[in-house]
Amino acid sequence: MSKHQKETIISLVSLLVVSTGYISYVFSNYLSQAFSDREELKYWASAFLLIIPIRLVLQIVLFILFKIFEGILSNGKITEDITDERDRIVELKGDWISGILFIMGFAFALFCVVFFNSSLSAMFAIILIAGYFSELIGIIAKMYFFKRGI
Amino acid sequence: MTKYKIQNRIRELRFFANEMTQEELAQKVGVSRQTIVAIEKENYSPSLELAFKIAIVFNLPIGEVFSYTLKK
Repeated sequence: MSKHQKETIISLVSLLVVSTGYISYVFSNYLSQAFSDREELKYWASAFLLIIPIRLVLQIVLFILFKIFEGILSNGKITEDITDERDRIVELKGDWISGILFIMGFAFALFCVVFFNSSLSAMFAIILIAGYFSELIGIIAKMYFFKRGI
Repeated sequence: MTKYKIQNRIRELRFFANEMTQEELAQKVGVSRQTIVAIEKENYSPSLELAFKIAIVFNLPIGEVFSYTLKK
């Protein structure tokens, strides 16, 4: 397994553990409180802003723990793995798929607001879920491309 | 539309080049071993630059390492 395949697995674990937990917390916290319109907007804005540093920090921590674990298993032997053209193409394709899906989810959120008169919260919730699933599918696509080829 | 695929003789050429390993070839051309594996299995078509580098390692013209053939 190459360095990039391992990093993809770490991203998947980070997404499944961290993002799932965070999104569950955001929704449960939202449902347990009553917000005014202004507070509602502020709540969703802070939820979106917080997910970035939380995911970043926890992904770094997971990566460091993985490297330590790998070092212990390989008895301190460090193998340098390079990023070559195939790795870059797989990353690009995965990110492209993820981006397209997120745009579709975002468009769907706006569509719901315009045609179904959905609330602001529903719009933000759809965007958050779209972001989660687009990233998940992007990671799975990368794992597929690494395994099966491009 | 007729479909073509890029085939290669890398595995055979490695064998005749003093049984060069995939890792050795990967290091010579500056890619990971997994990329060489993917190229040999025809799961990945290398860039022109990489194809030339591989051909240079075996001291052969690129057309004798890679071929563009009709998919069966």
